[in-house]
Amino acid sequence: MHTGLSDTEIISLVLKGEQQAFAVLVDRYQNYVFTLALRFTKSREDAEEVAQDIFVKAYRSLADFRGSSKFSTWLYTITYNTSITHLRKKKLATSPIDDERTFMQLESHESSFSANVMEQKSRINMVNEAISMLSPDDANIITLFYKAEQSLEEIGRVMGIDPNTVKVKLHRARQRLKDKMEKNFAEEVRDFN
Amino acid sequence: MDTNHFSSNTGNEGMEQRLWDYIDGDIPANEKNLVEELLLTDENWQSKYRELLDIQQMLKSAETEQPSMRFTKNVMEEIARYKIAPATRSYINKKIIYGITGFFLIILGAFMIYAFTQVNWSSEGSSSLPVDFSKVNLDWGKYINSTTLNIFFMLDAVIGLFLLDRYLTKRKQHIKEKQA
Repeated sequence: MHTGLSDTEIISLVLKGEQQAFAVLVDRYQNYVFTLALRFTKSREDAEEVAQDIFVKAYRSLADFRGSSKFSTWLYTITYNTSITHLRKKKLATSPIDDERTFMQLESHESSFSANVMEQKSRINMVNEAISMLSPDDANIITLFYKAEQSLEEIGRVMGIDPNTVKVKLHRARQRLKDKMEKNFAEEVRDFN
Repeated sequence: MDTNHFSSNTGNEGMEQRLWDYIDGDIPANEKNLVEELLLTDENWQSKYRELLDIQQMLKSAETEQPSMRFTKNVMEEIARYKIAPATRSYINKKIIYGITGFFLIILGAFMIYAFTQVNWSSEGSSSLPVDFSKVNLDWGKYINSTTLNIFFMLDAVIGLFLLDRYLTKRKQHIKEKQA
């Protein structure tokens, strides 16, 4: 019904009491929010729960959205903070979230899984899997930059860091992704080239 | 700076960083021209550029994950139980803040006026100060004892906690504003 409207127009409708209009925003951003949450939780069930929580939080504090940034940037900021809180609650964040070692176990598990099914995998799946092997910060920067179309400044706002730091982190994230691809999917990468 | 100088000053890591900046469109105009020139003439730069373009293409091809089909329905059912909270700015009443500031300014002003009225402006003679302190005869030991010191430290602690609370509230607000 409201699918043609801009984010700001939908927000005005919701603030006027048309609660159902919020469903358009949920439809519009659910994949991005879910993907970002999944980068942290590494479990679809948890990511869905966190994503739902994020949309509820966004709805409840919608009156605080002043339009000084894009709605998506505001929503991803809630996503980032809620996901970190979730991770802390789950006590998975005993070491810094940017720490590669935290994900070594997951990586080796996924790699052994990958060896059996790689032949059937497409290039897209391979990239997705390589991204999921990265630390949440690296994976999120890549997702925000390439999929959610956020600028370096906007990513900085989402993550609460300086845009120049985002630039450096993005460069390192791409480097690490390249290393992961070479290490885990060397043959496939050659086949694609 | 010519391309040879630029190229020799840029190591392998630097070349990659500059090429990423070029691909991302985040490069100063003068450097952009140099990179473009190198891409036309230098094979190393050309091959690295092709490699990075491949990675860029792959990253763009990555797909977002999808939650379950019922996701939107679940969210809408959940938010039906809630109301939108009033905007933070609506319940921070500036009049109260102005009122507190005014109160302290009035107290300070009244104290200053009282102090000035106590000064003998026409005093002359040996005293260089307009106030004759020799008339002031206070027994400080009567006032400064362990009880008053304890009260003083208690008040300090209370003021300290009050200021800490104010600082933390402000920080929380700042974070909330940043989210917005």
